[in-house]
Amino acid sequence: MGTLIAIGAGIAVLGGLGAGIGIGIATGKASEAVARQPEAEGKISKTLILGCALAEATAIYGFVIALMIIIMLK
Amino acid sequence: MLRLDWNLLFTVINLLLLFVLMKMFLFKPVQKILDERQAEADKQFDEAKARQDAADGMKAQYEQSMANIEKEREDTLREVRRNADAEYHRIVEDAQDKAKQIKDDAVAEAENKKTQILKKAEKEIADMVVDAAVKVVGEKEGAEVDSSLYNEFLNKAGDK
Amino acid sequence: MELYNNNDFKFTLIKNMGNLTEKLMEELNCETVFTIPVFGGIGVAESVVVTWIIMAVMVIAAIILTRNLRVDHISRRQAVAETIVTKLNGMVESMIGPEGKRYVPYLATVLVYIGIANIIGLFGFKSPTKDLNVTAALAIMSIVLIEGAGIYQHGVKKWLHKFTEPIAIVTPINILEVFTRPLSLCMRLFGNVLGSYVIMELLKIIVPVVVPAVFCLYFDIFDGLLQAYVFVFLTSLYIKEAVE
Repeated sequence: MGTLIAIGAGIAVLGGLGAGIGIGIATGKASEAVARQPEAEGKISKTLILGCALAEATAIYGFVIALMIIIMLK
Repeated sequence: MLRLDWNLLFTVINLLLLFVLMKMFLFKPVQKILDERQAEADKQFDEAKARQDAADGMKAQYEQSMANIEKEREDTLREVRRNADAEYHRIVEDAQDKAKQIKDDAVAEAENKKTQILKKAEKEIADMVVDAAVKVVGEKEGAEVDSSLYNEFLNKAGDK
Repeated sequence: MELYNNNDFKFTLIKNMGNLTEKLMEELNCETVFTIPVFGGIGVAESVVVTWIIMAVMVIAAIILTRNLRVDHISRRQAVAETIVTKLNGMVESMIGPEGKRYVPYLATVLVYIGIANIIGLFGFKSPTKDLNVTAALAIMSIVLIEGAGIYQHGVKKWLHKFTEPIAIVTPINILEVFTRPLSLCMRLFGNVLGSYVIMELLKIIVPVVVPAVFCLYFDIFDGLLQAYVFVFLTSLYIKEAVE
């Protein structure tokens, strides 16, 4: 039973993959944007941080689900 | 951790209370002060604007009156010039009239004088002729005077 | 000997991990501080008590800062108060736009509250946002505010009609959104705080010195404030959408 719970939690945490890809793309685009328009850096970094925080939520959901699986099924 | 119970309600009440308290103690007073300051700044701005407007009005008025004065001056000047012109013409005409009269007077007097002189000359000539005739008659016959001739001459001279 | 040592190390690690699990569970469980003896006992959780503390701090700070307010020749205290209010209002207003000026004080209050709640762990209290009750309450209030703003702005009829826009077939999705929005708000805040807390605890067990301090800057302070900002940002975004 314990093993199954661990596997389930691990699968749930895989959701972090999407967040990683998303944040990677966002940061890449942001650095392109800064290279193109260095004067807009403030606005870009603000947007980037916000977008990262939103994209990160996916990974957080995975984490919360994993935690719930572990705690509730134990 | 993962439980929902009465505490949710407590938290809601807490948050509402916090909101009311914050609004009462932080946002409202500070906003009031900011608004007051804004109002004061606005008032000062308005006052300055009113003052500026008044100054502009006075300036316009002043300019208006200046323009009026200028116009009046111009009018007066024109009037005066016209009067002076008329006076000038009048004087000139007067002078001309007078000159003409003087000239006419002079001409008339001259004529008069001429007539007088002529009359005088005639008389003298007549006298001279009489004298001459007397002389001639005297030289030729003395007292024998051809009185008919003499009268005839006198008549002739008298006719003239 | 080698084997024994290895086993020994493993044993300690596992024991530590066991301890960690226990400690984590203990930390994560919001304890009931005291029980109100009505309806068979209502337990008041630690998060509510900590919220009281935060409220007390905020209100006292506000009272101290706004004492003797004057229009001119302001004191330094008043300058601080004015700066805080102006900055907060400006920040929230830039998110919500001019139509939602009415909701700025509430959102600013929530912003400050979540910000303090997220970093109060540094002062030895248990973050209230680590309790699902608190984040759920925040999210529920947000969704009530969002829908209330929509009703206030457009009236019930137009508000209901808005569920069928842009086409009628998306109505179920729009209705579902009323529930998924607060859920995602709640879970995002809760998960972030909990996640950063768990990571920090793990880090403290593995590397007890220096490194946690650096990560603490990111996970506790930066992420905490960022999540407060994100929560308010999303709420104001939804309100903006609702009042349009």
